[in-house]
Amino acid sequence: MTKHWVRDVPLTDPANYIANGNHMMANAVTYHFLRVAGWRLLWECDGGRGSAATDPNHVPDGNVQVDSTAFWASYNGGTVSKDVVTVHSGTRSLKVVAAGAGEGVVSDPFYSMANAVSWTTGTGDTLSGPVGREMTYYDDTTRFSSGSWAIGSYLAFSGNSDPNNDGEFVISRYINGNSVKFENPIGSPVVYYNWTPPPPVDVASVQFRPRYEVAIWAATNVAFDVEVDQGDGSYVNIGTIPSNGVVFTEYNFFFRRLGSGGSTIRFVSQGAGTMYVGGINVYSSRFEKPALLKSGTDGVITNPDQFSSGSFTFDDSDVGRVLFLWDGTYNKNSGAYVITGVAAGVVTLDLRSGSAALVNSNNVRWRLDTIDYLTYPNYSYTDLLSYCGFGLESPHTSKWRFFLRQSQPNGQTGKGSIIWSAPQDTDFDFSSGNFRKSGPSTQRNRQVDWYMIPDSAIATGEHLIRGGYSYKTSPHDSRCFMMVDEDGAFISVFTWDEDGNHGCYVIGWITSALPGLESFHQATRWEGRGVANESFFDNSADRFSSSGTTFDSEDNAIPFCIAQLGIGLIAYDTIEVETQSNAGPNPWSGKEWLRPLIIWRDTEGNRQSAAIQITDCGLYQGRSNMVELTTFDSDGFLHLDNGLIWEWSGETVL
Amino acid sequence: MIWVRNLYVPDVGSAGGSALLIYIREMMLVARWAEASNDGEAAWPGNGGSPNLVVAPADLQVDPLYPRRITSLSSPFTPAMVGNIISLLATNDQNRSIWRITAYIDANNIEVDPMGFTPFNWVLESGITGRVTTLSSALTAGVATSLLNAPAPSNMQARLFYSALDAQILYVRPKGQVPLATECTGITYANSSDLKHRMHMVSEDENTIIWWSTEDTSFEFVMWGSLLDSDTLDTDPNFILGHATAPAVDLYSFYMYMLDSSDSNINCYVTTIKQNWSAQQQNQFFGYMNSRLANNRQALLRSPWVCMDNIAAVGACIRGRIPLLAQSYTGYEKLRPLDAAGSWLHTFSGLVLPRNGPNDQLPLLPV
Repeated sequence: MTKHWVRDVPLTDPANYIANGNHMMANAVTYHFLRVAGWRLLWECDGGRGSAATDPNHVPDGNVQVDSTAFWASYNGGTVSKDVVTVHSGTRSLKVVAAGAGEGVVSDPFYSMANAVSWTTGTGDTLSGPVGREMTYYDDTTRFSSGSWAIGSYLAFSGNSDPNNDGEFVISRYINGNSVKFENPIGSPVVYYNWTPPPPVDVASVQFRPRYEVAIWAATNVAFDVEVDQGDGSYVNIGTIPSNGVVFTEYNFFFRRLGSGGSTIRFVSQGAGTMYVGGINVYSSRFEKPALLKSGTDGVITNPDQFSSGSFTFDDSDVGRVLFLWDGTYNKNSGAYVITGVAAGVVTLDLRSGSAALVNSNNVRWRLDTIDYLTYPNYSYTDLLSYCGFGLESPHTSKWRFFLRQSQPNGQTGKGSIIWSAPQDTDFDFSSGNFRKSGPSTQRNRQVDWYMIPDSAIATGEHLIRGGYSYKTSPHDSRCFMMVDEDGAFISVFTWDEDGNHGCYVIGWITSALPGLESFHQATRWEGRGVANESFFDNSADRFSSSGTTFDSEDNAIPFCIAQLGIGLIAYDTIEVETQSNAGPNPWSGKEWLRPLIIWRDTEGNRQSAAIQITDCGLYQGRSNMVELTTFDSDGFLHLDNGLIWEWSGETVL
Repeated sequence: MIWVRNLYVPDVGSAGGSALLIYIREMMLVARWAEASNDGEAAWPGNGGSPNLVVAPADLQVDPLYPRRITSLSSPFTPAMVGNIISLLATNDQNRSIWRITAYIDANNIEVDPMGFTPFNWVLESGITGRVTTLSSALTAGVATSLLNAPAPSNMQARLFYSALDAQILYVRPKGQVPLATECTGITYANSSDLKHRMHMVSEDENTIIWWSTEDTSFEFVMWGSLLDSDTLDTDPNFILGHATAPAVDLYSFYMYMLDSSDSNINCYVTTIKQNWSAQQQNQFFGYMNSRLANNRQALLRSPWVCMDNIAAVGACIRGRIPLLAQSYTGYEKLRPLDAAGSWLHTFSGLVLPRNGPNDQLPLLPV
C-alpha cells in the first residue's frame, strides 16, 4: 500500500517557557494530518469541566443515558421522555413530542462555561498591523494571561474611530499575557488613550466571546429550531434540524458566549411531530477550531517547494504556520511543512531535507494551522487545554476509530495522552468519547477492564503516550514524524525528543495475516506516566512494544507485544539479534538486515496465541546501534531509535 | 526429496559409533553426495577389500507390482544378507533410499523393511546400482575419515571423522570444493555404549538432515545445508547444525558453524521468538502451551533465521534462514505428525521435519 509521511515537523519550546509545548503540538500535527488525509471528525472535548471530569461534555446528560428526564424540561407544552427503542447510541434517546409549532424541550444549564468578558481599552493598549490578515491587540493589563485557550474564539470591538477596526474578529494566535492576534485584514493601527483631559480620547469597547461548538445527533419527522441562551438571558437561533425521516444524523452548530449567565439549549418544533435526540456535545474546539480553519482541495504544488490555493490567498501572517498536504497523486508531496515565506499568495515550504523536492501537482488537499508552543501549550494555562481531546474515523473501509485525550494532572511530571481505538465504527459515548462495550474496541475488555482516569498521576489500565516531554527550562526540541497508508488502514507516529524520551505508537490494520478483527492492533504504551523512551523493546509497560491490544476471534480485546529475536546458547541467553554489541550490516554487501515487526498476540496466554510477521505497514526492526534518525538504502528506510525502522520516502532527513 | 526412514543399523561389537559413521556416509551417498576421499581403510564400504561391502550389483530393478521387492538378474543375493543393509542409488528419488533387508526370496529377489518403505511404492526402474553392506569391521578410532562433496552446484564438503571409540565428529567445509579446505568447528557425537541405531534422513539438493535414535539417546541430529534468503554476495552460506543430545534441547541451543566473511569459523545461532529484549530464551514463544495451536488455530511452523556470532565486521547479523526444517511448539508429543496432509513431523522439543505424506511410516522408538 502506498504510504504518506509527515517528514519531520520541528516542535520547539524556547528557553524561557516552562510550558514545553511539544506534547500537544505533536497531537495537533497528528490530528491535522489525519484530517487532511480524509479522516472524519467524530468527537472533540475540552477540559473546561475540570481535570477530574471523565465526562468533559458541557451538557448535563448530554449523552442522554440518564434514566430520567431530570436534566430536561418541557418547553411550551412539548412532551419530553426517554425512549429505549429509537436509539442512536447506548440504550436511550431523548424523545420530544410536539403537538404543534413552538413546542419543545430545554436543557439544564451547561456545566463550567467560560464567560464573555467586556472591558474598555485603556491607556497603553494598542492595535497594530495588519500583517497579512492579522492584527495584534496589546492590552496593558495582561488580560490574556493563560489565554491561549481563547484561540478560535472572538474579540468584538466597537467605538473605534476607524470603523474598519470595529466588528467581531476571530482570535488567531496567542502571543503572551498582554497580546493576541486576530483576523482583520482591513483594520488600522491604534494607540488607545483613555484619560481626561486631554483630548483626543481614543477608546474602544472590547468583548471577549468564547466560542463553543454544538454537535447534535437527532432523528426527527419535523424540523426543530435549535436555540441557545448565550449567557445573556436571551435565546438565539443557531440553526435548524430538518425533518430527516427519523434517521439519526449529526448536525453541527456553534454559539458565542455573550455574558456570564447560564447557557441552555432548547429545541423548538416548527410543527407537530417527534424528534429523538441521540446526544448533544458542547465543547470549545481545541483542534479543529472551525472559526479559524483554512483548508481546501484546490492546492497547487510547484516544484520544488511552492504551494498556493485557488480559493485562499496566503499572506505574511502565514509565515511560521504549518501547512498540511495530502496528495493522492504524488504521495511524497503529502506532509506537514512549515511555511518559511510568502510572495503573491504563494508560500515557500521548509521540506526539512537535503534531497526532497515536491512534484508539480494540482487539486491537493490542504489545511493550515499554527503549530507552536503558544497555540498548543503542553502544560499550564487551563484545564480547557490540558484535558482536550478528539475522536476520528478512518477513511478505511473498516471505518476504524482513533480517540485521544490529553491528560496532564501533575503538570510537568504527569503529562500523557490517553489513546483508545476501535477496529470498526464501534458506537461511542457522545459525552466521554468512550466506546460502548457492545462493540469491539481497546476498551472492551482486557486483563483488567479499561478505564480512563484523566486526573490520575499514574494511569492504570489504559493506553497512553507520554514520550518526548520531559521538563526543561532550556530550549526543548522535538520532531514529529508520521507514516500512514493511503487508505487509512493504520497510523504510525514517532515524536523524537532531544532528551531521548521519544513518543511512539502504531494503531490500525497493520497486517492482513489474521482473520477479521484479529488483524487490528494498537501498539501504545500501557499505564505509567514516568518519563521514558517509548521506542524501546524491553518488558516495561512504558514501551509502545510491550503491551498492545489486539482482538481474538470473538472480537474481544487481548494483549500483544512486539516480539524479539533471541539467539544463542546459555552465554547469550538474554541477547537479541539486533542488540549485539557488534551488530552491523551484512558483511558481504554492507546492506542492513531488516525484518518486519513480529507480533506475539495473547501474551497472557488466555485465549488465542499467535506469532506473525506484520508485512503490510512498513514497520521493521534492525540493529539497535544505528544512529537515530538516519536513513539508509537510498533513503528508503528511516531508523528512528533502538532499531525501530520505517519505510521511508526516499528523502534524507536533517 | 530423498527419504530414509527407520533404518535399523546393527552393531559392530562395542564400536557402535563406527556403525553410525558408516551409515551416515551411506545415506549421504544416497543423498547424491559424492565421496572425495577417505583414509583408505577397509571398513569404509567400497574401499578395496572392504568386508563391509557385501555386493554392489548394477542391475537392480524395482516394480510397483512388487512393493518392497528388489530384483536382480545376476543372482547376487544370499540368505545371509537378511539383516544387512541395501542402498539403491536409483535415478528416481522415490526409489532412492536405504533399507534393512528383511527377507530373502531367492538369489534374484529380496524384500526390504516395511517400516522404512516409501508410502508411494516403487516407480518402475531398472539398471539401478545398489550396495549391500554389513558391519563386520569397525573403523579405526582416531584415523577413519571420509570427505564428501555436496551435490552440484554447492561448494560444500562434509567430513566424517571417527575420533575415538564411539565418538565421532562431523565437520563442514563450506567452500571445500572451491577448494578452500578451511573447516568449521566440528560437532561431536559421543555415544558411549550405543550399539544400535535407528536412522532417518530427508535430503533435498545439498540440504541433508540425518537423525537417529540409539539405545541411550532418543534423538541425535545433524544437518548440512545452505541458508535461504542470504545476501546475494554471500555465495556459500553453508553450515553444519546439530546436537548429540537433542531430545531435551531446543533448536536455539543446537550447535551451528559456518565460515564468516573472512573465511574463518564463526559460531552461529538459531533465532527464536521471545517477548522482549533481555528475556530469557527459555521463555520463547514456542515454549508456551498456547503456541501449540497458534495462528488461526494451526500449528505455527517457523523457518528460523540464523544469526552470526557477535564479532565486529564479519558477523553479528542475520545471515539467512534454515531450509527444510521448522520450529514449533516445544511441548508437542514426540514424533507426532502435525498435519493431515502429512507434510510435517514433530520430532522433539519443537523441531519439525518434513514428512513423506500422510502414509509415511512413523519413526520407531526405541531402537
